[in-house]
Amino acid sequence: MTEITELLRAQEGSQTPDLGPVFQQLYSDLKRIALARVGQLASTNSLGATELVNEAFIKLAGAEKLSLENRRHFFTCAALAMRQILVDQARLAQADKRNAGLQQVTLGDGEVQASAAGLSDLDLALDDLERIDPELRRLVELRYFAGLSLPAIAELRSVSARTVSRDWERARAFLKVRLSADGL
Amino acid sequence: MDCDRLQRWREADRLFTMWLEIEPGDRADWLTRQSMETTILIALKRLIANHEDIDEPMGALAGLAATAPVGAAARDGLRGRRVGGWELIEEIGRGGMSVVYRARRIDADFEQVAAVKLLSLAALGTLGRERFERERRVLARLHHPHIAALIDGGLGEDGTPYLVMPLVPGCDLATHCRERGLGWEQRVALIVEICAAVAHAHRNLLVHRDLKPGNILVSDEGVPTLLDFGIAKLLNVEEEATHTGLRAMTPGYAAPEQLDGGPITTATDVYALGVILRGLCADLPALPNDLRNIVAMATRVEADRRYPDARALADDLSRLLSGNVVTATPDSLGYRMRSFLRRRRGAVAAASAILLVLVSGLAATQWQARRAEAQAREALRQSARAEAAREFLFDLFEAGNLDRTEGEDPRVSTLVERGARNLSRLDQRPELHAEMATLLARIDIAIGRHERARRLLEEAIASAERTTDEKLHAQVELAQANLANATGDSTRAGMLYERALKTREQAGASDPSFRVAVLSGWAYAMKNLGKQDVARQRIEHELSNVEMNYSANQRGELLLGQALVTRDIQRRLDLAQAAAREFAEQPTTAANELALEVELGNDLFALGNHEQGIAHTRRSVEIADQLYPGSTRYRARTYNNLGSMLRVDDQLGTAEAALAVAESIYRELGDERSAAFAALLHNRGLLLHDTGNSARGLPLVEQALALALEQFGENDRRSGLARRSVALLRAAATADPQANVEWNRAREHAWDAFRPAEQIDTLLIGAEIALELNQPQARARLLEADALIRSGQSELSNHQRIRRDLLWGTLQSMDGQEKLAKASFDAASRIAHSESGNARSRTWQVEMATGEHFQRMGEPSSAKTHYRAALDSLLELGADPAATSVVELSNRLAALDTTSEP
Repeated sequence: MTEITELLRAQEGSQTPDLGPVFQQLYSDLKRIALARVGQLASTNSLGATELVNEAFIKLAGAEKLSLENRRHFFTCAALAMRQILVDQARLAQADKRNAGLQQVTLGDGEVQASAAGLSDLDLALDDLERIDPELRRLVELRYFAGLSLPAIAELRSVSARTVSRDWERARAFLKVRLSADGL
Repeated sequence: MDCDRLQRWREADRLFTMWLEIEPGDRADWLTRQSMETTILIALKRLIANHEDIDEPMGALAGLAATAPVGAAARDGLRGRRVGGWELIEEIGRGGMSVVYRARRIDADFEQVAAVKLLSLAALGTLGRERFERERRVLARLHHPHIAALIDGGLGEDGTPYLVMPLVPGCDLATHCRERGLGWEQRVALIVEICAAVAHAHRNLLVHRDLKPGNILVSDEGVPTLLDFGIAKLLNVEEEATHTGLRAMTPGYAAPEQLDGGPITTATDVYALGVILRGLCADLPALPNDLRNIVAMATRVEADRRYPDARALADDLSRLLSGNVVTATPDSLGYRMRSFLRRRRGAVAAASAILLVLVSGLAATQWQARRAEAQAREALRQSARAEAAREFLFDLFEAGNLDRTEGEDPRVSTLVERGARNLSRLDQRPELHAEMATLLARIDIAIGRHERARRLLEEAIASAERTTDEKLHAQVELAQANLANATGDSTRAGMLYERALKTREQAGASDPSFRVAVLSGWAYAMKNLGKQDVARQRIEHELSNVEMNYSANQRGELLLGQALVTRDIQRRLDLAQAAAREFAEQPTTAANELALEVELGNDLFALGNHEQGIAHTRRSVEIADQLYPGSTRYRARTYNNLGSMLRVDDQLGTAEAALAVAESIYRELGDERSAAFAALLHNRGLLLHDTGNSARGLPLVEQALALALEQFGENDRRSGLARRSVALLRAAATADPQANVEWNRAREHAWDAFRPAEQIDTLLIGAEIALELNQPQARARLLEADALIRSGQSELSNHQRIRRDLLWGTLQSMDGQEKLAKASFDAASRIAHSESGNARSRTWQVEMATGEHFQRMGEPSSAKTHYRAALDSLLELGADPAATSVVELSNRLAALDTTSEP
């Protein structure tokens, strides 16, 4: 059993588990994997959030038969950790910009590229989304930062695919409005 | 976001959610009927303007990316690096799990340029190096003029897997067709060529798995080349990964079996080719019907009903081009029904409810036709009606075929709506009109559209009155009774069932299936009215009536009805198992299966077999998910059951999740007064109590009690349980002496209705209340509980054992029997920490009681240690910092701090 699965199992069955340790562990594991790949490959640009998280899942937890609850915890934490890593990198990149050339972070499936400034805008937009409905924020994080498909999220949340699709529509429309030039 | 703005967007989001739930065609109309503040309307319209169809194959992120602030894409980061014998020159593409570079061969005598595809490490993570190499060698052997060959591949120095393919000139298939303005014949001809290439691979037992226009390049000369053959398999993470959505494929082109985790066969590629063909021809005018049929056959949901492989598809397309008769035919209605029955357990369940009802509806019609054979005149009339009924239904699906663009079943509600519109065509034929209106209403009841069902049944009864057909009358009355049951009006339901039976009897010879339907529904109504005994006797009598000659299926349904109105759990379980045996003999409907699983789950659980009980209940959740998808009462009920069982089994986290699903469904239904909602409130209240927040749980159980009293009266088991819980939470939250009175009342009125385990529970709760309120009855109640336990009627749950040990421990501690008390607390602690069961969530209760013991014994430092442990494990459970027990523990710790440090 890996450390992660141990941590996850330890939380099993608790009503509102303390996922702090899981997050901490995942944050450092994800960072390690990212550095191992990215450090060698000179830049961040072959790094997709989806593959990173998937890779982490397979390496850290994939061999174990995790319960639905544990998988939900894993991906929730992974999404948060990934977001944190991207935010950290974005901040770093912004700090470096004064000295070095422009550096950017790749986010998502290669189709989504966010600049450092963009990422913090997105962060603020997510804060607003959370105030509309916290569930929507979690959904976006799972989709956006952990790269999960909508059916996978439906399974994790134990709701119907239709509900997830509908919630995704809600979240996406709101974020698009929020991130548009006119704002809210 | 300031407060006003937040309120505005919340409201806009709420309305937007409603808008999304409405059929696209009705949305504009709905919007004009809403009245709202202008600012909210503007916000809503902006959300609508930013809405896109979720099914677009590009994936949902693309839409978001388009508006997110986008920096210049960081590309080419690997330029100049060496992978294997290749130097990367520039990035030419990327996908979810790979990056593609134009590359040059190093150390070669000749200049060779190719495309190098770097795969995600995840591919290797599960495949393993050996398998990757093996797959790669298989692919390297694939040679065909229209397939881009694999030149090279392997693992780079850093372990990155890579594949090398020739750089193919040209543009993708869709662009090629559009820019050249090709007609459908030319497009089909291109697909035929592509099919030939895929067929070659199929003969070598290779499946592409990720065919899409972007993977098909066409040169200036019009020669197509397939890219990435078999690579999806390398990227695929099998088995485990199907549960996490990691499969490499492209939504929109992926066959259903790829989404469901079914077996991948050559028919998987046929599906993708069908989708590509449909996409290529979608905007062309005047397509031949045969082409539509070919596409439909290639993209059927069931893999075994498509063309078996690419060659068969190519052959049919060639026949089409040469003007010959094609083999593809549209689905027949009969086929759709048979296949529905066959895959009832399958994943495709969108239209399940309607088809179920349609099948049984038709069966009834045919049965009538058969019976009528005895009477010549009647026979003619009836069979003509059966024929017309079939026509009417067929029409619904015909219309469905026309606008079926996704190869999926049309929505149930859409079909009913269409049917309701078509009803007016039957005005001249009142019998048929009534029959069809009833059929549509039954579907509406199944999907929870009660209001439309009511209107349809009113139409049906009006038409039935224009005829002399008493059987028809009875059918409509049965449907009305079912509707009353579904809306919770049990009194009216009971009356209507009686009336339906009487009407049917007046029509002559008895009809077993009709009687079974009436009696099952009636039993449900009687149960809700608390008249179980009457119902049980009647069904028992019915089952012993040999004259009725019931089939196994019908006997099974009656046995389930009897179980419903039987109080003794063991007897209920026996009845349910008898029903299961009948159903094993003759397959039954999914609705009956659902009822069976619910009954088995409830009974086994109540008898202490938690594992089996939960397993059957989970199965009932699965059936309900398929049979009644969306926000339906049936679904909510099964989730609620599951949540309550998990709660009792101390799986508090999953219990919460299940109850949350149930609650959200009830709220979506606007159903906040039903018995089921009361049960939900009750369970959530207890969950809060179990995590130390009795104060927040109290109003929930109080509301549950009010609802239960209103519906079932004081003597009902459910009212008793709710009252007992109110007493417990009131004592814990407010130490109100009234709690003891409340408990006595629950015991007085509902004791006989309680099951043995509930009686034990109630006594333990009574003792707890007495201790909490410093009242003297604790010992007597505990002794009574022990006597019941010894009688062995019910096995104790871990939760009950912990509770009992803690109560005894506290009593012994108060008596100053230090050693006995310590032993009791240790016993409780051992259960809480044992590996079996899920009792860890009770640790805090053990620690708290132990702390109290040490405080009583005058050992403040030990007391503090245990209080602190209690506080920690309570917070670990996710308790609210303001929760009753958290505050209580903090206060005690603070008090101990001040006394120990004068």
